[in-house]
Amino acid sequence: MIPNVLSFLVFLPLVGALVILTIPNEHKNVIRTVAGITTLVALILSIFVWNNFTRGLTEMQFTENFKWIDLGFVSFNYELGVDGLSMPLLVLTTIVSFLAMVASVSIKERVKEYFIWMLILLTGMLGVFVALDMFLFFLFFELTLIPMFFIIGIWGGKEREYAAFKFLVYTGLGSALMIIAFFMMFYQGLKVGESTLNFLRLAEIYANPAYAAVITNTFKSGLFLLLFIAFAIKLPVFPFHTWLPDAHVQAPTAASMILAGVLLKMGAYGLLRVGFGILPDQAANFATLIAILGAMNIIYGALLALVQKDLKKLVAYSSISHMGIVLLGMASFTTAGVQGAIFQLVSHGFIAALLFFMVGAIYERTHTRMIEELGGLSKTMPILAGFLLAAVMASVGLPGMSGFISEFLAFTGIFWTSPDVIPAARTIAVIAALGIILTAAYLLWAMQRTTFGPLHQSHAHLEDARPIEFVPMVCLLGLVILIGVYPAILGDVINTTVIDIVSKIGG
Amino acid sequence: MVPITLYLALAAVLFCIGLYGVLTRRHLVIVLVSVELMLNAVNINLVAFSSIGPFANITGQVFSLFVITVAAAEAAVGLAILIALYRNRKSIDVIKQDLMRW
Amino acid sequence: MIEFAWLIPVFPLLAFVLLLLFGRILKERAAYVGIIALAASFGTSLGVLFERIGGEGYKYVVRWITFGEHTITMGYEVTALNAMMLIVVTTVSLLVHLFSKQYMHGDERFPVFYSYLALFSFSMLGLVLSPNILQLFIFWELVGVCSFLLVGFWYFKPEAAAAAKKAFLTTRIGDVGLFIGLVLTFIYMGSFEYETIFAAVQNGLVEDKMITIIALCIFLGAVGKSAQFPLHVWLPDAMEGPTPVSALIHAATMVAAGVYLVGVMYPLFLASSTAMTVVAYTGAITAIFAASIALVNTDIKRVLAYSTVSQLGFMMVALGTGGYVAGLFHLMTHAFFKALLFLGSGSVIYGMHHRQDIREMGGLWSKMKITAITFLIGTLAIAGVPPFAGFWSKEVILASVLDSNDPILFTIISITAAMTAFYMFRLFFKTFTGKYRGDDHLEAGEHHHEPHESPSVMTIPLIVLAILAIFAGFVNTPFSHALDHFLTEGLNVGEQAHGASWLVPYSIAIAVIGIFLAYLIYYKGTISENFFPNLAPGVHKVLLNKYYLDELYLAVFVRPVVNLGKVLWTIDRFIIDGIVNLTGYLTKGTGYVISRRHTGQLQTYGLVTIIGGLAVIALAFLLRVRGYFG
Repeated sequence: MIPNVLSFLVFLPLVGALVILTIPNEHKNVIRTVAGITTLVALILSIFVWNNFTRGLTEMQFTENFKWIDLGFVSFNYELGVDGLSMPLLVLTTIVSFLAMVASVSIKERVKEYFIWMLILLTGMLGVFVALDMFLFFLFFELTLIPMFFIIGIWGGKEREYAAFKFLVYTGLGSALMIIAFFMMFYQGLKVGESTLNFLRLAEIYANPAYAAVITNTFKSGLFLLLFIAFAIKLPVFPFHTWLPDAHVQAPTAASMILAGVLLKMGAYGLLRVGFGILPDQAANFATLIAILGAMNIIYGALLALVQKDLKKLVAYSSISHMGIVLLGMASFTTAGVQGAIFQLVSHGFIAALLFFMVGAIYERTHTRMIEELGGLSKTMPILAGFLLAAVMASVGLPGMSGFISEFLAFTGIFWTSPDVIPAARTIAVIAALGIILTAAYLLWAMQRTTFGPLHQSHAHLEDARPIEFVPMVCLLGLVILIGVYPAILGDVINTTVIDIVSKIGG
Repeated sequence: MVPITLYLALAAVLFCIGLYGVLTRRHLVIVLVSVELMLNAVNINLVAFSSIGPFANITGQVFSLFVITVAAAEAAVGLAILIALYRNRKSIDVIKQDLMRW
Repeated sequence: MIEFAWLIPVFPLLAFVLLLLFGRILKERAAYVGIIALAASFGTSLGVLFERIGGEGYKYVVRWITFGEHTITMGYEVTALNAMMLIVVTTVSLLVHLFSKQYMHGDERFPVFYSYLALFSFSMLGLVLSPNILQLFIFWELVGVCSFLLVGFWYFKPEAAAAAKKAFLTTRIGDVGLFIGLVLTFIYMGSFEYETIFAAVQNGLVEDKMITIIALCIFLGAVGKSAQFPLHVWLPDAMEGPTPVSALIHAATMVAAGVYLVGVMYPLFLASSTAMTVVAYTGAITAIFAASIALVNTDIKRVLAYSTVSQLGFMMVALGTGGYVAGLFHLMTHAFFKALLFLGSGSVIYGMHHRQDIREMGGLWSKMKITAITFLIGTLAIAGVPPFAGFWSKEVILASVLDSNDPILFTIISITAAMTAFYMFRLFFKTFTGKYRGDDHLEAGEHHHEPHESPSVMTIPLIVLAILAIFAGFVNTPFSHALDHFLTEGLNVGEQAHGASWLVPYSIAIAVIGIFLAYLIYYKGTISENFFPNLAPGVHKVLLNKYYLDELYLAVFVRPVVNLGKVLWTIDRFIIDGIVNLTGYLTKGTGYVISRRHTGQLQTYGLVTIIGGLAVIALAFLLRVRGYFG
């Protein structure tokens, strides 16, 4: 066992960033290598944690705890730990980040700055998933904003500044709501004489019937709503989604991979950890709303993806659509549904990263993302087209790939929901299921127009996949298939925590 | 014995004259002089309280000496800035010094 | 042997992986990889079948996923039904692999073709071996993807790309139904395992209404996959794929998966009379509907495609009227003779240098003897002429329908059987008899291509299939019910109907009427080809345009959805995002307006500061007077 392994993991990228700071600008390859190695070590560490993670425990594992800032009436603690909810996301983060680093070889300008920002971003993301203290969680949550703002704003596409500001301000608004909610939550705890910022401790306090007079249900409902909006912006949930297409489309490939692969998941994670973890009954009260929003996300995202002319925008809207499945699964409050939601987080993390990588690779060669201007790419780049097809099939939810497992679990969950939790669950589910058809429709339509059909003359001489590009493609596709073929590898880690989350309602 | 209110009144009058000068005069040197007036108003207060205040002690006088020293230093710095400003902008009219606009 | 049944799909999977990795090096030698793998599967399947005939089934599962307290397993199982299916699939697949070696010769993506074929064989065999319905669904979708890949194999042709998409999407609609059906099955019966489901149904643990809903949802999946009305539109278009693919996937195996699914879930369907009626009537409508289109179509492959749709309808009718064995028996015989017909048409198309309009054919009998003879055997089999395979299976279907005492169904099926004989012989006569018309429509610059017989690597599969098309029917005749016993043993699928003795001459008569009419029109010319079209030109036009269903779907489903998307996108950009941007602009504007107050005038700042300070002091004083601050 490595002591304080989580701290090592979280701050390793920051150390890497410091190292890069000392390397002169001209040594671009050295910088790339250092960044790559740092992320690779983080990846190995996270896999180490994954392997040593004891399945079947509800408690936090690998915990670390010491007093950080003591103000007397409150102390900000440095508390870390992982459970079945954060464990998969932690590994997802390191894997996607490592592959994003590999995909970053195409960055040629201001290399040093770029990798420093990327590493700081990684620290932030890892921190979010392991922090157990509200203040620390918020700190890491915010830490992801700034690097992403600069990465989009400096290395992005044509409208990068607009997209970067929109991303920063919009998701920053979510953070503001979150900190307000955190304050209220803490302050109400203080009123009953419990001064704590720890998520688990707060969950106990808020579940304690002895405090019901002070921590009223109305207060809890308001708090949940505030938290829901805060995290809904990040997720994103309709109608708070408009920052996403802009940010995803303008961001450089690697950043799009991370945005779709990891950053969106922070919203869902926050909702599960704080919203569902501390206020389960209120979450159950709002389940109908969440389920309807989930179905809406699925259908709305799919319909919008159907009419996009820009391939990357299409993939961005497909992300919105897929996040609907997360909401749907969560709202069901059944083991199947919540597990499906977490599966979807991981699965979509890999699939979206792969799709964005593929779109980036195509853009790099053809210099266009417009579907009309592409066509017949299978002819000149059969390997890339093959991987794109595989990625699309994964996104469609083809069985044997991870997307199917999450869809299957989430829909089983929502069909299973008792009418007490969601009155018209089945109607919602059937409507959402139509989204599955639409997903196939827009993705296959895009395939038909880009890789199939007659070849565009201007694209007659394109280079097929480069060796380095195989790394992200093969890794991501391999993981997607691995989870799809043998889901227990992921399910066993999640299951106990899911049972714990579900068991809290009504209790 | 002169009652403390009179000292305080004098200081207040002096302070207000200084303030008026600071806010209305366009010549920077006069503005600086007005600032000195305000500082001296404070000094009078300090000294008055030091000798006939409810908790009379020496601290007030010491403090006023500090103020005088600081004021002298400040005047030096202020005049230096003033000269530098004049060199650059050929004017020491307060109204024309609007570089801090939006 | 039977415990090695898992090897059957693994061989093609290995071939797929090998071809994926080394296809570029292997070039056309890729065919051998596929053929060897399939031969191995075929051998194993034979062994499994023989062992199963004398003995017991076999099942092996491993844990797949756990959620909450529920565990789902995956594995493989050998039952009577899937032992039979294994033989059908591996036989046809092996022959198609052989046939394609020549048919696809010279295609630059030859290894890719074989890798897709191998992947398809893997998926289809996996589907057949599935021990539970969830695993069946997984492979069900995989075969759909393979179909998508193979239909779109010539992806640079826009029609092929569109057809591939259409095939996938249309079946997807059915699959969503099946998916919902599966989820409901799991919720109400607690398991995906067949025995548990059937036990739950039999013990009345589930209310009848829910059984009907589940059965109908599952049937929706079968409707999509087996190209039943109204989701049949994809199958004729799927003929854009290479012909061996049409033979393997869109005739013999994949499209039969829907029928297989209903067969596998049969006790569930039996428990709901509504579901049975829906199955029977969907089948009947599909059968006559597709047959009527096949009467007028002129593309050799599309006629066969519509005949496939129609024959699948027959199977559904059989299943819907309680003829479990009848439906599955026809599934088996149909697999052989339809594969034969498709490969025969492939041979014709190959010989005709990739032309497939029967108006340009004719007189091929003398030019390609083997193809013609085997095609005739296939035609006789599908038309239901004894002693060919199709006759026996069609006879039991008629028996089953008759047994259900539904005169409407019986009439529809009888008429359709006659139509089948008619359009198939129309196809045969137009293609193989009369005068060669290939040079009538030569455009400028084209020159005469003499049709030629295909090489033996293509004709051998035809001969093998022809033999099967002759003899496969003998496993279940009115005189010996071998298949009947084999399939129903230990299963609760109801009493199987064995028709009245007059059914044999009756079904022969039906076939003869159809054949005779075709003979008169297309061989003898006693009746003009234009006689019927002129009699009812409107009907003819509707049939030629396939009842305008494609246009209808486009207008009713596709366009509105796309338009809705466009409307929503406008709303998204201008209203939802508009509000976001408006908030941004408002904030920015407010900032701008306020920033104008910063004049840079030091003295103004000072004045404001002092007024502010005084205000604060005054406020504090006021509050103090009011008793705040203690």
